[in-house]
Amino acid sequence: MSGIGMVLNTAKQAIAAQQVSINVTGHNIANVNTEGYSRQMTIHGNLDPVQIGPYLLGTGVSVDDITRVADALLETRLNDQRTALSGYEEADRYMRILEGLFSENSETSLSSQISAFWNSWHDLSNVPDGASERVAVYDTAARMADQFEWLNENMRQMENDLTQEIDAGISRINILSEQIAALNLDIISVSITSKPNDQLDKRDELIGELSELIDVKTFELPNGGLTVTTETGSLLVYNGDAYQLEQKSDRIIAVDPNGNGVDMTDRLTGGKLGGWLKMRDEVVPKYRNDLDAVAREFIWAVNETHSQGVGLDYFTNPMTSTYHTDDSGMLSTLAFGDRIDYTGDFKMWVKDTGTAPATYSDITVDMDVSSVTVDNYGGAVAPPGSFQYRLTVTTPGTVGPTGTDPVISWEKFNPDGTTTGTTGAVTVTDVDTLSATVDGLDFDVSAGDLYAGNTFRINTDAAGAVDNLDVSIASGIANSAGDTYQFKINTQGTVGTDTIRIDWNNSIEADTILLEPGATPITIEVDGMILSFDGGTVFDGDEFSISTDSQGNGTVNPSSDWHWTLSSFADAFNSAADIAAGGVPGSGYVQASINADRELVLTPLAGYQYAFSDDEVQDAGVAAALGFNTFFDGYDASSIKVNDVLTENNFIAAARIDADSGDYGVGDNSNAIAIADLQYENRSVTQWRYERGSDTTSSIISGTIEEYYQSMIGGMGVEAESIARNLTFSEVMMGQLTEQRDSISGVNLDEEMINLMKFQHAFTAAAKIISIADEMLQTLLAVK
Amino acid sequence: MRVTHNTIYNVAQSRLGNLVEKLSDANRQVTTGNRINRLSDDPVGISRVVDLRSGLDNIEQLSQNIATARNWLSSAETSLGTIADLMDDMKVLAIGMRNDNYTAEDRINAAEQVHETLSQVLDLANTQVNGQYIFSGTKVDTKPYAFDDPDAPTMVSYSGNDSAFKVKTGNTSNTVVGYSGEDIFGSDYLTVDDTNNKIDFQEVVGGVPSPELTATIPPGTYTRDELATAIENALTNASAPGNGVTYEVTYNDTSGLYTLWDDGGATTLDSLDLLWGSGANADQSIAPDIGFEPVDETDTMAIDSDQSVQWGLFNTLFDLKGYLENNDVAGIERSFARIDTQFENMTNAVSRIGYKGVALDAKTTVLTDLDLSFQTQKSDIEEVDIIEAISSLQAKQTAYQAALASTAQIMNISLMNYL
Repeated sequence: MSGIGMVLNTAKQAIAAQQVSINVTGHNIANVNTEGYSRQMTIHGNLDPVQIGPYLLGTGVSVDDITRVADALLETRLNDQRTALSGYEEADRYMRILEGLFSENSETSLSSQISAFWNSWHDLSNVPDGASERVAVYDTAARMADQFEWLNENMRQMENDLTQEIDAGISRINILSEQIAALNLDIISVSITSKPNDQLDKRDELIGELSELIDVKTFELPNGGLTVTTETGSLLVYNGDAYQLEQKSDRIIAVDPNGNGVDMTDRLTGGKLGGWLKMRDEVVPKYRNDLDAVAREFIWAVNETHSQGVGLDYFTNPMTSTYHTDDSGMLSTLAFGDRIDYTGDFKMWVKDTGTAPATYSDITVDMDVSSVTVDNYGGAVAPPGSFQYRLTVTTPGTVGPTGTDPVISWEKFNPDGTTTGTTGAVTVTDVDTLSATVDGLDFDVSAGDLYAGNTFRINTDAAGAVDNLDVSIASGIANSAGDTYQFKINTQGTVGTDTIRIDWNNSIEADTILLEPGATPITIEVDGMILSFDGGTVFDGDEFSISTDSQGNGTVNPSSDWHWTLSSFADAFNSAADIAAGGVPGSGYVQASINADRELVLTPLAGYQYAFSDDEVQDAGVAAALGFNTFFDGYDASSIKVNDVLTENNFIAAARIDADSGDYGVGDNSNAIAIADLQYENRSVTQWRYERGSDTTSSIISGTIEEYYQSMIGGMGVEAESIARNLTFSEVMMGQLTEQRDSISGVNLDEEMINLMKFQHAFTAAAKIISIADEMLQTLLAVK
Repeated sequence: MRVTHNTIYNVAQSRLGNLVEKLSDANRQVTTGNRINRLSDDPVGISRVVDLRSGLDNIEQLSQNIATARNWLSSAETSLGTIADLMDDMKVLAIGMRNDNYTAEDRINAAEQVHETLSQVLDLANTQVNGQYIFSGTKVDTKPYAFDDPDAPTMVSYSGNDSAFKVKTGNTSNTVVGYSGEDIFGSDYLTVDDTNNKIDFQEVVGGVPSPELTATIPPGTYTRDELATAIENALTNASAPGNGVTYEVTYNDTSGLYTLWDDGGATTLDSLDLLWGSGANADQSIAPDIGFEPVDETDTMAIDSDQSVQWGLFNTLFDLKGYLENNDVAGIERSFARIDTQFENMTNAVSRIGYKGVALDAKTTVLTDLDLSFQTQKSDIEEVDIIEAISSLQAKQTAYQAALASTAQIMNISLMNYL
């Protein structure tokens, strides 16, 4: 027989349970607008019955649990989508800025400026001696150069901004990791006794924010702690421990529990970080380099033509080249050294103003590079030692029994690059006749022509025997097509014996390779090419280069092959000038010399004026490569500017010299027309492909400069469009997932109102039980 | 599916947001008339538009260039046309002055008239366009022609050069619009007919003088070099039968002189007498045309002409003036053909200029068509179809209004209203 106390007890339990439910409902209503909140519900359970007599009597209700209604799988999907969305949002944000820079809506757009530039040359060709047309050419070009610079600067600024954003993002990730770790500890300790619903919500929210920044994976441990890793598998949070990310010289490093850094820059794809990295390491550099390629081609095209023309006056003052070589002095190390056409000539006209009428003479330097081979080295330097011999053809001629005998002069240098003071000259009377004539060294020279100014180097080893660097391309294709890879010895030694450090660079990259002592050949990979070093002794500053064709196949140009240097060119020029002036050494009307900045300086004698090229010569482009009589200075979008010489705009070269007389009419507009013609001339321009995590590669696009630029901005538009499309798609997905999540975890106020009434009624009913029990007791007591 | 209030709010928010964005986009298209505002709006279109814009700029520039070319050509046309008229007058004058009724006095007066014409021609040859001399070759800053002596001129000197000023009138073509004065007023061709086709000469071979011989040049039009060959053949043919001298006649481009002598073959000359003055056919001699004075000339080595060859217009007029002053009726008669040649040169030059004008007209037509086509293509890509844009704006407005109305309805409903 159950007691009234039991009824009262049941009612008490019921009231309590309904009260808890009302409480939870209230909590739900209160959090209806809380981000990341999952609605909670109470789970009521009936209490164990007691046996009274033959019956089992229920003893009422208890609150078994307060759970949150959440689908863990959906949360994960939501976080993944959040990662994707925020990545696209950031990429889109920066893409819009980039697009804005190249906007075609205004007159200041680069394409309008370029077209104005060509048109200014048309105008000049209509009035070649017009002062205002000259000013217009100068100003239009200066504005265009500014626009190139402005675009480049803004893109660089974007890269800097992105690096800063990444820095801030990483700091935020680190803070979030620490907060999650702290919550983990809380959850683990609370889980022992009850369900930490709100802490879990809070943690989910932090994971959500983290997902916006970086793609993360989470695993819940049995103790309730959450393990968080990046998509690349680096640990961010483990129980109560958080691990930091850091950015060092533009690389993102994850520090693992053992304190080791793991570079994961190129593997991060999602989240804001992924979006920023894509923009900073892929999109912006591509267009920055493509713009450089446009500027570079533009500068060369205009310079090459302009340098063959002549302004209203011959030059009177000494002139310094605008480009310089590196320490080796090789012409190939000039900014546009790879564009020199060695089958052509360098020609200068000199005007003698001392006679009336003025008389004209020309100085021509044949820029050919000899194909004569030098091999079968023998003999040794006495006393033996490691030296460098620089050999230069001073008298051109033909190697063989007939023709003029060429003379090769040589100078002996110490390994540190200082001269020993020992010099000499050998006359090549026939093929294979050079026996112990260069300081005890022997070598064979094959039949063929030698050209004044051609030079090459021989290095000897400690034993005094010739030991030139032997390098070849074993296999592989260079990533940068149509480019020149310049190699420079940084730490000297003998291949295989010493550690040799070699710096290399191409038009966009620079790096260092290290040849360790060991068995030769030593193979080493450089930007896609496998180089094989078979032996040789090298000195600091020694150089060699590899030029690549449009497919990326390389050709090695060692310094032991014929080539031109600044000083060999100056010598060849001076001797040609002497011959033009009558043959007395040092009598040339214009003298070439080299200054401390490794620039060439042309100095005319008093009363003489000079100008470059003419309407007949096959111009080798040497003047343009050195920077004489050029229109632009600089070599890419950041350095492009109008040559300072042209501030005196009489020197804007609209005319070409008449090769028959050395004179020309100021109304000659051949050169202005030739420059205007460049607008529709097909040229080869490098296009870059950037992909994070792989080498940057290039290909050669053929078309006019403007077509290249149009395809470049077209490509940019496509990129922006695809990012925007992905963003829209991601937004839709995000909306749908959020809807799904809300349909499970969200708070519906109608529902809660109903629940509220439901629990209120239950509460009222339970209270009624108490009052009934009370009445029952009163009744019993009244019986007495 | 269970729908929460937040879902309703969020969905309403994002859908209305989308609609507003589309509405503002449609509005922007209508107000700006532009379909493309960012590169990504139509990447393929924008590169095409940039290309078209550059093309249009180029067309505009080429049209300007053509205008410059026309300017030059029309000035040249006017000058040369006027000179042709003057030459016509000169011919009338010369024909008249041959008449025996005129006295030496009359002819001297007529010479004065020729002098006036010379001055006028000189001025016309120094025509300028925008301060640039159009008959100066590319030395446009240099006055091309000047008299040797302004008071009593006997010849003109040319200070221009032999290149011609050209204007870029197409992407790959240039039109020559200026002239080297020598090309126009000098002449590369000489017409030989029975007034100027004889050379009277006497050759001495092996110490024996030959009788007077006459070489006849076949009539025709010759260049300087062709004439050298023709004279060479004529002399060789006329050589005394026993002698059989093979002559060599050369023209030196630089000095403008002809040189007459044997070719150094089997038979060599001791000396050569050119009977320019005393020969039987002296009045038909070619002497003035190849730079010889009309006097006999004897030498034992190669004989050069006395002065450089001038076949041109100024020379013709100077000669006419000389004949009139000297009352040389035969000379006046010989001038007819030369004046005719010059008249034809001028009219030919004018018609050549005319052809150039026609060619430029054709170019202009092509450019105008291209311009129109480029403009159309550009607008097709870049600009919105306004009717379409407005109706699209209307549609979006309606959609937005409907969405606002339905959202407002839904938002008002709540269970709480009924409790």
